[in-house]
Amino acid sequence: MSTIPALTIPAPTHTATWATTAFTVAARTIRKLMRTPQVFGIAIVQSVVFLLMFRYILGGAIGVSGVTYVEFLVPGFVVSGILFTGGGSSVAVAEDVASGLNDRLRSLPISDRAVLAGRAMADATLMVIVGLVTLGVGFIIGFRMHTTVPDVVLALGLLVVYALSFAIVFAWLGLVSGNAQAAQGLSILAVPFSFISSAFVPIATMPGPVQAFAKAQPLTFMVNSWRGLLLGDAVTRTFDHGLTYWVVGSLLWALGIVLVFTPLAVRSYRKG
Amino acid sequence: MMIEAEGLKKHFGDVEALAGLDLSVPSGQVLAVLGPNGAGKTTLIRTIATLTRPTAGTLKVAGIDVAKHPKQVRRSIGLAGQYAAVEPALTGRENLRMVARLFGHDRDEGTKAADAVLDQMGLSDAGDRLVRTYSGGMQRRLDLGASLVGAPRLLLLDEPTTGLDPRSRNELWVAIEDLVAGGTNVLLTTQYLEEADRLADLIAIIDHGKLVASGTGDELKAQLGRDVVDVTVKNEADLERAAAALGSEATIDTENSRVSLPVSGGADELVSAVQALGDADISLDDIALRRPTLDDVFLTLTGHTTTEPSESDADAPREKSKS
Repeated sequence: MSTIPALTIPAPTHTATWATTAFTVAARTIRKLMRTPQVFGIAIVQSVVFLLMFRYILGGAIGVSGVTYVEFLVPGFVVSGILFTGGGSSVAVAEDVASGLNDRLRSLPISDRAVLAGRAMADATLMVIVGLVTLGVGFIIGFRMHTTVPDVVLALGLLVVYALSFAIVFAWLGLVSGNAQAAQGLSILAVPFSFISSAFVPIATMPGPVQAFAKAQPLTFMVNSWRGLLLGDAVTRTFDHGLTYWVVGSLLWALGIVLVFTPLAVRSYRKG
Repeated sequence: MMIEAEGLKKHFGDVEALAGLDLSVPSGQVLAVLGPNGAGKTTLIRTIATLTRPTAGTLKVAGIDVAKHPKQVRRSIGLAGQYAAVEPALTGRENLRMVARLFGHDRDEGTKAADAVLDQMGLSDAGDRLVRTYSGGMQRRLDLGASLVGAPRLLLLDEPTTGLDPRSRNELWVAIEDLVAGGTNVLLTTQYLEEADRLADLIAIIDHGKLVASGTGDELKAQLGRDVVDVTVKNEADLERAAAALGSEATIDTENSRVSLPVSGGADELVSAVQALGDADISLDDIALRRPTLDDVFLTLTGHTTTEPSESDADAPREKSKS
């Protein structure tokens, strides 16, 4: 009856491994990002515009001790930028839910965690790239490092870890919101979360309860670690704890975030 | 049995999408699940695809319980949904390779599978174009293709042609027919009787989350047990009089100037109908005896047509159910 020969594809003999799944999902997400450069563009423009506004408009009125404001600001900006770039990741995840792509992935014989890990790897890559571009702009507007090469390498490694941990949070937000508009709305949470931290202004000027929150929250640990690693003594002298406290604390926070949000994200992914 | 459902229930809060559905489909058959919007078709297919867990009852795919061993079930199914779940920012070939890798093919096998599917779906020339440049029909065919790269034993198609123009629909039908000829088991949901009649060996009619009837198209039509006399009148004004002449069972279809009468006596009844209309002095364009269509079956079994939602059968815009 049919003139076309029957499709002859041998059935796969294995299921995809965890690593294959994660890398295949990550590769798809990164390809998509490269083919839709506006996503990158918006994240970078947004980051740079805010950096310039803080540096030149608000900066003059903000006093910091030990270093210049631009030196204080740039590490805070690069690290907290993870949260602003992450909003876009949430939106993309929500779009995959709405488009049915998630349903396709969920109908395949692959690990749920590997899918989310692949997604987080790709999103973290975007966050780190935006962070590095922002750092580059920081150099142009007067940021200088006062530190050693190993410390810079450590700082970059930590940035990757922070990005991965928050990428899982943003994937979860995208999955629970389920559509791009809601995900976009939720991403505004990045604003209070980053402002109530050491990212843009010294915590010491904040009122009591707010200060307590700022001191304890993960972003402050991450920002202080970066500051200490890139600026050295000039800034660590002003900390009320040593650099090790902040670095170890930031890693514990990242681990905690991964441990709490991975099961939440897996559950939301599988629900539906 | 490819699919076996017993007392399958799925609740979403207070809404009972599946209300104790029983269904069994042997291997090697194409099953069309037919029903109006809101009948539970999509929930059924999502449950079979392991995307939703049943609230109660059992469901087995190729003998494997979907609630207990969803991962094993996923090895034997391919799903293509109502929306083309392909990535617009990748090329057709990249999409297929990605899904092939996830199905477990290695790089070479995945490339071969992607090429074979592009060929089968008539997309070889478009394979290296970004999917965002594809027409709606091409995206659906690619989506169908993506569900095939893992060589699934059971292909699940949720309203594969909804929203497509007639030409694209026909192309997709041909693609599905080719797959069936090649031996793939298919379960598809549809609200188009024509689609079910054309593609399926078995038809399951569901409404309000329950199986209303099942069988081959011919069996379902035979269940109705009766042929239909269709009378087309010359003057629309005569419709009411023609219906009256034919008796209380006649239904009027104003759109086509037609009166239909279910009959059990075959040709004799046709003769009596001609006489009755002649006595009433009504001039006709056409009169014919025909086998019932699935449309007649559906209307009789559910009290409404397939294209209207099952909740609102009271104010149906169609004229068909008038007696």
